[in-house]
Amino acid sequence: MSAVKVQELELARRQMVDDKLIIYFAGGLIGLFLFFFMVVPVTNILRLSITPYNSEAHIFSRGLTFNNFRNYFSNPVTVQSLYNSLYVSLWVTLITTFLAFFFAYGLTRTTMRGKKILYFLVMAPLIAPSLLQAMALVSLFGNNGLITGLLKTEWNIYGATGIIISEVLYSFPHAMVILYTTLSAIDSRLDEVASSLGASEVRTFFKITIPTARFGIFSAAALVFNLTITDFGNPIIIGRNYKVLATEIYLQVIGMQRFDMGATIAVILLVPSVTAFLLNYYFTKRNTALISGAAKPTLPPSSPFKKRIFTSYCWIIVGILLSVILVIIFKSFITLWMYNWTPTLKHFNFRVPGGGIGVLWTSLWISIVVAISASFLTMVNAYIIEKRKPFFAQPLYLMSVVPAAIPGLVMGLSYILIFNTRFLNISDLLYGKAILVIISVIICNFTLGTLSSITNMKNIDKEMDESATSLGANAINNFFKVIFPLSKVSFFGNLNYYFMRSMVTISAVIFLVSPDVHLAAISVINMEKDGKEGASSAMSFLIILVTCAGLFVINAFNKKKKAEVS
Amino acid sequence: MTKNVILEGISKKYGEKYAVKDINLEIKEGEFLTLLGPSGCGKTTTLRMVAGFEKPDSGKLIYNGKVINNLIPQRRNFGIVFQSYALFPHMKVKENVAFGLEMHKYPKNKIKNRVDSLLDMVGLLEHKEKYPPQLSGGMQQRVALVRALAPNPEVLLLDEPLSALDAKIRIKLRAEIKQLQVDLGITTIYVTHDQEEALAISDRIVVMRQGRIEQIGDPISIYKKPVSQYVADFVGTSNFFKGILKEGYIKGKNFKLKVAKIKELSSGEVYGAIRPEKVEIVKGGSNKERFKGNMFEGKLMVINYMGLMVRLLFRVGEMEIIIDCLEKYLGEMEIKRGDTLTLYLPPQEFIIFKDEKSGETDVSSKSSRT
Repeated sequence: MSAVKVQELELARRQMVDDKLIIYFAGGLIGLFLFFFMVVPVTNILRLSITPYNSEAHIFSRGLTFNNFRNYFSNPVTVQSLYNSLYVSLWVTLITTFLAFFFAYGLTRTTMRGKKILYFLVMAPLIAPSLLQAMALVSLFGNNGLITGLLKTEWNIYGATGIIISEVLYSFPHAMVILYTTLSAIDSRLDEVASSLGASEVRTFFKITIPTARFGIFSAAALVFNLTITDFGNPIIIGRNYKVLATEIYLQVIGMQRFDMGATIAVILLVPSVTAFLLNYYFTKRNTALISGAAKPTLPPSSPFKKRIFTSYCWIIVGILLSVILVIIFKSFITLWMYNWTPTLKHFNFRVPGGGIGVLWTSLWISIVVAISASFLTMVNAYIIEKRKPFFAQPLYLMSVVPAAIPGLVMGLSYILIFNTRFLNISDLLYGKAILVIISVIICNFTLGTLSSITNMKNIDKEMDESATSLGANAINNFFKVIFPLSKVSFFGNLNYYFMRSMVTISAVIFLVSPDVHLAAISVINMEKDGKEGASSAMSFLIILVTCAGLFVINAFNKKKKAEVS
Repeated sequence: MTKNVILEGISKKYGEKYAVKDINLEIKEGEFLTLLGPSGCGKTTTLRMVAGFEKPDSGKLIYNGKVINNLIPQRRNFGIVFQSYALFPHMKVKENVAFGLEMHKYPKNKIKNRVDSLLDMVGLLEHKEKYPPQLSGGMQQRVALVRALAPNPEVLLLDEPLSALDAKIRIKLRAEIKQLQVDLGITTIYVTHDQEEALAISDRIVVMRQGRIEQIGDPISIYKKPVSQYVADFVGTSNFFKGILKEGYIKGKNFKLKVAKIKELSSGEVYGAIRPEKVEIVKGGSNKERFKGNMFEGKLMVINYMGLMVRLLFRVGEMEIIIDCLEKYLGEMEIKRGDTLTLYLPPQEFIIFKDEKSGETDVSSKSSRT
């Protein structure tokens, strides 16, 4: 090291804005955002469920009443929707968890071929609105179904059976991801030790594999239950007279203008969904505590028999999930399903009222706005909560986690209930406008983005932050020059997630669409219910195409960024 | 008004436990001061309070005549270097060094010159276009060092900067750091648990223990005049003899040692400590005057080669005595493992400490050598 004296330079020391102010301001804004668009509307809907309602004039009056709940539970027609919801959700929870566990087991504990492609393909249901499953089932097993037609049977799939099957298909990848993470994180050498101690493969499975993965299994089950009981798309298509809570809310509000009953059933729906959320949260915590960071050994080769069994099993499931999409794509090119099989492009010429190709572009630009703003917002939020820890970090974290407990349908309903009034004189700016749709989608999916960003923040060395600080960087510089560049992977992950959710979501926006803002996924429901099944299939196909294209662009951009850095 | 860093009665609690308790310390301008102690002694917490990452619960932190307890880290302009380097992996070496300059709004045209001259100073100019992960650990720590120095900090804070490096690089780099500090004349606070490093590099050493200062002094006085058994044990190695001090002798279970240096107040239960290099091996033919009581027959159990020096472990009855001597001496005397030799513990080399029965230190484990 040479002994050159470092030349003295005068520092142009400027007054720097105090970090605390920046963090308080940014954190305060996010907190207020969550407060106004989550805490206030949800509190309001709780209040309205016990407020008297004038069903002639369709307005709430003053006072306190429990009549709504009394009416709901005393009327056998309405209370049936609660039983129905619980019935189908429990069945779906059992079936999906069971099926997904063996799929995840195949991917993590056997040496079969094609595991990567299977993992990729099993995600297929995520790129389509949660009504595609029902649409495909109706096309195959409905009154005019291809298979029911071929078998010339009177049996059809409408009702509980249809809902259960379509929800299993819809929730499968969600459960699979949790079980896959669990099984791949648990040291598979535990299994090997058991075998070496003389336990048979079946015994090992029941005595070691299942118990060590139990919290992951419970956590997956709770998630599936929550997804099913809050889903709206599939039951509205395939349920027919079989009402569940979600469809009942919709019928009460849209069909009968009974906002009071809507609010009441929404509150009833909150009970199982919040419970499932809390269980999921609890089991996830327990699960993470069990997971060791130990290095993963390579698996010993599985027996050819085991490989063959799991290969066929996984491909059958992927085949079924993909055929849902293929049936819809096929149907969109058929002149008239079951009657005229001539190929046609006429369904793509959306000359339907309240629809048209324009809805696709509305969905697209809204999804782009949602993806960018939500990814950014959740990352700033995670930075504040995990790295800066201001005094309000705990309440901010709590508010960021709660949205996962609230069904999109309830959130959407709570928005119209508060913003169609003269709430703070801002209703005109929001009601029936795209901005409210954007906010709703962001809030409904706020939790997962924040949690994944927090995990990412935890991986960034505390000293990285402190080095920048002692070198004179304030919180803003620190975030943009150090934290953000180091969080690219997580940021792009969130971009994918929010774009996808925004393109396919139904329940969060069904109450918020208006003549001005109409969305593609909603127009699918409308067309399907109008009997325009070709057009609804075509629109679904386009949604899938646009979603895939969007994901492709995001990831191409991500790869390019990565190439620049290294 | 001096540019000294002054800690006045500084305390920091985590929950109910004091991490740092009532620290009083003045670091003089241009001084190289080391905070030395085992993990959990509060040295890093003290440094982080000076840097501004932690706020003292009580006491005053004074710099340049002003209390800076509430000053945010950015405005202190103290440079800090961490054990983990904490270089920004997405920025080139030159961008890392330029970061602090940009944050302080240096004129653009001057930044490049300063970055180049800083990197030249540590011999890394040719690597300026690389990214940190492409450099070796030693190189990365040099970059971290000049990055911290770039905005002309008034105080340099080093938190175990060499602990993650190989032994050889560590010794080389610590000489470089010292040279750089002398050249720049920058006030430096250095944190380490490595006593050898502290002795080699510091103007003054602060030995810390459970959040408090045990001893402050220059390296020589810390080594030669430790104020407690704790310091004598932590800095360097010592042979300890526990017993009752009476009339110039320490009387133990099966020994009676004459000791020369007796503090007036010391009597009763004490430790007598003697450094391994002060113990002599007695061969016939020497005509020095020796006290019979300070001679022991010891069996050589272990020989540790340390290059120039060797460390010998002798068993004397139930006691163990450690001796350091030159390696070549071992050859000349034809000493090998298993030999029984006569050891002499010169009375004038003993340091006496009062027995610490406070219970907060693990004296018991260390007294195994008595």
